[in-house]
Amino acid sequence: MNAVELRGVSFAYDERTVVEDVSLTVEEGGFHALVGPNGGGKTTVLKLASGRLKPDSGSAELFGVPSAEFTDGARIGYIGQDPPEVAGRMPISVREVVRLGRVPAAGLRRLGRGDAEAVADAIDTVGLQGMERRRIGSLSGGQRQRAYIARALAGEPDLLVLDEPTVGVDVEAQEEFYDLLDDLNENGVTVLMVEHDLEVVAERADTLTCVNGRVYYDGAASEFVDSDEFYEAYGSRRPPSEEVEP
Amino acid sequence: MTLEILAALPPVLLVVEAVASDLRRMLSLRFMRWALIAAVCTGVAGPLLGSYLVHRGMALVGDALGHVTFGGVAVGFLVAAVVGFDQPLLVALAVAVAAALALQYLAVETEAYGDVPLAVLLTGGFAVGVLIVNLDFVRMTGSIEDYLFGNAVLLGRTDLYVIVALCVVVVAAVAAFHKQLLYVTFDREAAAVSRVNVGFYDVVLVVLTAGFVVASIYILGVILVAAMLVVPVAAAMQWTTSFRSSLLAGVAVGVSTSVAGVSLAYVLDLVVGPTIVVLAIAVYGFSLVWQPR
Repeated sequence: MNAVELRGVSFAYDERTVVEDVSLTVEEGGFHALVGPNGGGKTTVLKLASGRLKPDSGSAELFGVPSAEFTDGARIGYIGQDPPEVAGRMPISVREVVRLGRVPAAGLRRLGRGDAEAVADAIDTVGLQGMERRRIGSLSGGQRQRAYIARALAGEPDLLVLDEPTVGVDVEAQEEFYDLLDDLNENGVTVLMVEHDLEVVAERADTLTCVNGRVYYDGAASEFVDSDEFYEAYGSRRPPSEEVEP
Repeated sequence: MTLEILAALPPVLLVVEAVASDLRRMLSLRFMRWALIAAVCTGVAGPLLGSYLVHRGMALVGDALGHVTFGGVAVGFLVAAVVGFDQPLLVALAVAVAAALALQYLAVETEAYGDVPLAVLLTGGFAVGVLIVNLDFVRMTGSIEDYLFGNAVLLGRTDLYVIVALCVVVVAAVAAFHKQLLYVTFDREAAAVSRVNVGFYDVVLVVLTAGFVVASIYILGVILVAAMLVVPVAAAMQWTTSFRSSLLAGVAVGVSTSVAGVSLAYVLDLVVGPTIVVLAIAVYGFSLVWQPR
């Protein structure tokens, strides 16, 4: 079964068409990247894929269920850019942030021993043990992103949805973040990620969709930067030395 | 040195005795006991809700709903004059809840709790209230100032029941929905992707805030009600590293300043609402200076 499937999806904010006729498939266990120029509709496609937006036309499915009707939120973990409130102001501890990952599965019941164990395991997995009581805003950018991964992991998701998760994070911490993501993917977690760094994408992702209003490329991640579609999507010409011989 | 201290004691003891006597007299008065109960309710419910509102940038929602509540009380007096149903607090509650739902609708339509919807509600609610209370046939209990700044003397038995019930509802709802409210407050996008019904919890929060505002009208008044949503939370933020401890510290500041404010206002013959607010701001100022974390 596919974790995510978009077929011929179009979407407009008010009258402005953002994406048109987008199709993509993310197989279960896959690592799929969404790339494209700024303003090209990457985040919109991610929201359509995760069911945050309803397509104006076409269809979007999560695990074989129309995204709008998909209710099992515990199967999806989301990691975005740092929530702005976190940058120092909101008093919330690392453990409280990670516990939020149990909310979709728990619903209105009180969190119990099993939830506490899942939270502790998730914190151990990302290497934040000993920092559980610290205010999240006191952590470095890289540590905070690990806390958000732990939050997603605490829900024991099948699909991780990431929207440019390493913006503002230093290079070393980015490496650690993506290594952790690789480990999770190797353990069966499906990854769908918006990422602007094409080097990271080529190195980490299996498959890739390049979006700039429409789909320019959909295929193996490692072959994208050598393709004509890359230059077409980003509005630049292939350097003369790299022109493909007819 | 010891003799000097002993010599200074009698005047100090006299002051302490005088204050204690005032407080005993205060506690012997039924309306002041009711005021203290209402103050405790206000001090509990305000910071509880404010902890979510402040971190979502919605602190002024309380201010707007406060002004609408003044209009609601005025509508209550109008209803009493026209049909004889003399429960202005209940009518104000209905008006405030309706305004909260309208605000939520506007927020969804405009994708923000922006200045325009808040300003429309704030000024519109107040304007309607002033127009109504100036109608010849409308008889208002107390003066406009009593509702602007609070006057515990106006508290009736039914009012107290309504206030306590609203406080219980706020505490129960926060206890039931805390996890979801916190998730939506901290990371709205992640909560929505994980199928937490963010729209529903938005409605819960603004409707509960409407209830709190109505419950606080006799203690704080509509102008100052937002202070109990914001100031104790702002103080608690300086001292705490977790949301749970921030909630508890905010409630502690809210209850202590409310009770102290009511008592001080009685002893020194001050207006209740401003006294509470000044005390709360003093605690906030102290929290900025003394931060153990």
